[in-house]
Amino acid sequence: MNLNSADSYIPAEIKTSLDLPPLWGRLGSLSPGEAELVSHFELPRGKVIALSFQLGRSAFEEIRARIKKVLRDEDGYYNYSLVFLDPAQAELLRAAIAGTLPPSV
Amino acid sequence: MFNTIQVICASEKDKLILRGIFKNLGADAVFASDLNDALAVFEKARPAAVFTADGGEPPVEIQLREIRRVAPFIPVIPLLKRRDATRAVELMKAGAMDCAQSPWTEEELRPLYRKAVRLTGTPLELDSSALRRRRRSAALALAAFFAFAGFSGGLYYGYKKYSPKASHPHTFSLPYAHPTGIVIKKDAVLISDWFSQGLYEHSFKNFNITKVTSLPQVTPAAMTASQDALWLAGVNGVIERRLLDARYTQVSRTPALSPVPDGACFDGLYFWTVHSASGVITKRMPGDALTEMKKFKYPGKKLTAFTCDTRFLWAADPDLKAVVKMSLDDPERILVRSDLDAYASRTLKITAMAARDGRLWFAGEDGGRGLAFYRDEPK
Repeated sequence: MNLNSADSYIPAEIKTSLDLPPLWGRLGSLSPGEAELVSHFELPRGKVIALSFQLGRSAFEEIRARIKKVLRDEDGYYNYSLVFLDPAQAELLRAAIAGTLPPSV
Repeated sequence: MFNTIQVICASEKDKLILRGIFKNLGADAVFASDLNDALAVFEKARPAAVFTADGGEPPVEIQLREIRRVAPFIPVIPLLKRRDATRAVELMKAGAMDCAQSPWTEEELRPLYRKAVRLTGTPLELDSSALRRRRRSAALALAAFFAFAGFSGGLYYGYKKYSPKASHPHTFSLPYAHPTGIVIKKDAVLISDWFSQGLYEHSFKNFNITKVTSLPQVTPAAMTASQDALWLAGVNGVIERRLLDARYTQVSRTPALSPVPDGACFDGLYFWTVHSASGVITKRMPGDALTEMKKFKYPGKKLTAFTCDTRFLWAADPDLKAVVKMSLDDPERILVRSDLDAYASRTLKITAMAARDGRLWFAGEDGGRGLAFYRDEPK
């Protein structure tokens, strides 16, 4: 098990379309290619969303991702499995995560 | 679940709405009009979470800071007056667990209320898919290892348990290389050697030589014994009968037999000789002259050593790589043929045999070195 983690769940802004006001949630886990998003807002599987969040000193704006899987927990929160769509953004994420993690990782 | 929560709300109207909602949610809501009131009753109420309405004084950011100063890990949920993701994210960065949007309804607040008791941190992975692959590979390798170990262990266990025990004949090296006859006595093994013209008596315990009897007049080609006599067949075809005393005193001798026998045995009733080159087995009367009674043709392929006991005739057959059992009544019929492991050595030449107490003894040479060994009689 990888025990590396941020000191708190990373809050993220969720854009679902240009016409609607953005939503919010937290990143349950984050890797360069995938993420898990926890939010009390309901979104459909397969939808493409844009995430904005801050990781360490790096701010990420509108990272495009597709909702791969949706699970609703017993509290009523939605757990979304996301796949990042843009390889260039994924590379930036990789660099940021590598910089965030301790050197021994 | 501990259900006491604190709600900071200045508006009486909002309080009324929130009171109804939290009551429906099953929460024990403790209301405070402002931050000071909230902090005053905080220690006493010990809430599981704090809900604070946005738009009051002091601002939610300050409320968050002060509440977290008192209780760093308590979930604080600002109740926003409108849907503002940017502000929600900022408040969450400041320490809010989540933010509720307006309008505040039971459906909107239910997940926030229920989730408010749990909070940890976001796991970070550099490459989750690669890590997962590595984990999968490691798990597969581990499973394969255990499967292989289990299979090998089972195979080994099964092999050890169910495979027939390999018969390893007890083998003894001889300091002479041309044995021609072997006789098993009660506590010793007697072996004749044609080259050194001697009779070697070996201890049963360690097969050390305990006695050597020189036979200057005889070149033994075969040897056998009964309870009270020893027969030595010479290369000249003469078979001598001797006593089993210390000097093997000669009692009688036959005229030269033809063909010259190179194997002999006594079954307790009749005397048997064999000429291995022709495969002729001759049954004889046990008198001094060993008068011929009947001849038989060896039914196997090649006979190099020959013996008998009171029930059967035995022969070592290098072409069959086996020990052959024949009937005393009908030596031309093989009763049993049993593979002899010692024939795995291609240079082995078995030249003498003896049977006693359920064991077959063999003597011969292998690569210029004499040896003797025994195995159990085949059933």
